[in-house]
Amino acid sequence: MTYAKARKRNLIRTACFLPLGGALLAVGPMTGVADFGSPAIGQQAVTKLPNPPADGIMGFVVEDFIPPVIQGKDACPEGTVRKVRDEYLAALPEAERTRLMLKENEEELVAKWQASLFGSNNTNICSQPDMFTRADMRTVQSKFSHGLDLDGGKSVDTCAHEEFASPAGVTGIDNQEYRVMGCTLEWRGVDGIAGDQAIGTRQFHASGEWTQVILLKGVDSLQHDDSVEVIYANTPDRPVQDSKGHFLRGASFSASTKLPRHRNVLHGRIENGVLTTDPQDIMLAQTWGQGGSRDIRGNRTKFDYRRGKLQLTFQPDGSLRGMLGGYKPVFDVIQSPGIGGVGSALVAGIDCAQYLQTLRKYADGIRDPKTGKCSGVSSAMQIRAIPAFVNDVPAAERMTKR
Amino acid sequence: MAVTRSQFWLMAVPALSLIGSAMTPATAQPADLPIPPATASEYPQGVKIAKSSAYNVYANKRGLTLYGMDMRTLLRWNPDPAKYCQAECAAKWEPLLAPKDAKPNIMFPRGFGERRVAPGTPPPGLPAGFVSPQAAPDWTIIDGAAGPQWVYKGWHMVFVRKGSKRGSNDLDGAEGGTWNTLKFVPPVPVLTAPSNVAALFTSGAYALTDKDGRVLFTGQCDAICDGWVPFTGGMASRAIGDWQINTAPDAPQWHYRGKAVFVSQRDDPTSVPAGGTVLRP
Repeated sequence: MTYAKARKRNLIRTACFLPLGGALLAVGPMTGVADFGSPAIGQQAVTKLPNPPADGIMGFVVEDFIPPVIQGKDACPEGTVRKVRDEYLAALPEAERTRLMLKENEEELVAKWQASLFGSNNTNICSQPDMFTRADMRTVQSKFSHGLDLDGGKSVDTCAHEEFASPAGVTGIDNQEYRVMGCTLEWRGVDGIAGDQAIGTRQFHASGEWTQVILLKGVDSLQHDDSVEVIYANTPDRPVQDSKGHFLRGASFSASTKLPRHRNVLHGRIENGVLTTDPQDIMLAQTWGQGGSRDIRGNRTKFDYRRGKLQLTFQPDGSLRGMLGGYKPVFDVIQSPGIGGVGSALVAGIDCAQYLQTLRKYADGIRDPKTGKCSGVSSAMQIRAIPAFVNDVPAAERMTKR
Repeated sequence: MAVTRSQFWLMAVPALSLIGSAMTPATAQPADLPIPPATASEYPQGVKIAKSSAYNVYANKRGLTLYGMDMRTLLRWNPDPAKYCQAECAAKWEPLLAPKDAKPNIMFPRGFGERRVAPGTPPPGLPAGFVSPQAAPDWTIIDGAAGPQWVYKGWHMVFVRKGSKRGSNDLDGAEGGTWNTLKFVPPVPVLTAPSNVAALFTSGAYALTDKDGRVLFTGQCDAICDGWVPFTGGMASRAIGDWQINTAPDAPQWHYRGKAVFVSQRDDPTSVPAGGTVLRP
């Protein structure tokens, strides 16, 4: 069941125009809202925008593609998700826990918590997470999240879920991925500092492995335009960076459809300086050690956003800021530690089975019409894109693709 | 920016795998990865080469395309992917079985998946007579769900799609790259050539290239000789096999069987200018 849809509509109308200060006040005690963007990411119009180029074509390269995390202790009041060692200890009777934590019993403790990661027939919690049952993990308790309203106030093809409000006060935000993963150390990091995911995704975009480009065609105005073609694609070209690791503006990129890269053609409209695309499935490259000798699942992974859409705000400096939202298959969320196998648990302390189990519990999208069960979570990625020259895939080559 | 321990592991595990693949190149069959050349000239009984538009593929005696089930993609579903294809899978895919009395000589590595009896206990090694998938010859036998079954290039359990037609490769890459046609690339020819000459399989045959993969060619250019860049050697180069070094020009140029050799500078490094003939071993 979705909540407060009618009320949300009214709030959206007013909240969209809240000044930044007002938005922060509305958020209340939250601190460190975001270190890389406005709290109203992709939802607040800016006032002074340049005219678009005469040919209506604008290119961008995506510099940030990050799971948006709102810092502050209200999100995870009990702290971040326990690592497997701590989870093992927490499940023990107090006397046994106290005994094992004595230094002289360290070797026994290590043996026991590591053994808890393995099951029968050589299974382990990260290579075969489906085969383990775990307690649910800590989830985000705050009512605030970045993201998009994906279900539009309807629950026709979604599953029961609670919705967030954005820091700017926009309600109806669907982001169950954040609800589940938002208290993990990989996402949240040390409070106030971007977590591993943020750092890792930035590296993958800088390396050319996941690098994305956006090409807008038919832009008549950055304020209002009823119809814009949006090419959202991967590029094999590595961005040029300055000495601080920022991408240089105005570099040239070529879109590519050669696997594992993808090219998505979207239709969008601009209202009040905000570009929003119509919902449709979006796929983008996400490679993890492709071609590895042990496991090539990495080569086959992808960002798979069902009913995905972009909501991007034109900025006076020529950049775009906003969100990609959509429903993501639950296993995709743990692709990286899953590929890492039991090493992800032994070294990074990640309980993939616990993650997967909790993701399934909170799944709100990709509903099977027969069973009524959902196998996907609403998700959002924060985007910042800077101007670039983007050469689309040649028409002749596109014709040969599916 | 500092890299945390968990981040290192998240990124490092796939990266280490990548290093491994570089050391044992191209064991994959998916079309978007390099296709490893065959190393064997003998195949399991009934297996033959069938012509296909993009690639030649291995086929069974009925001419049906052989598919490899990439065991690496199935670890999530079964810690021993060799036993994966049962029930629903077995209803669709027919295994290419080895003789019933054939002894398996390969197994999916346990590695990280091995249950640790005690901390610090190393995973058990391969049983005697077994090879690891990384070091496997073209054709090996694994203990599959239906009995001894052929494996290609260490990872690909061999199947035929039930009900498929001759020449059909429709399921190449199906199920997230789990099922891939077994593509045939002839064994790499043995070259007697300068050390910076290699062989590249392109357009259905091997061509000679420089170390950067640019094809070598001979011929006569027309009036405009743009793109005819000499394939140069060092001043101390010595003739080898059919190759001679011509030191008369400003830069020594290799000749092959008496003809001056050039190297492609085109965007497509496997194409040559008009009038050029690609060198083939």
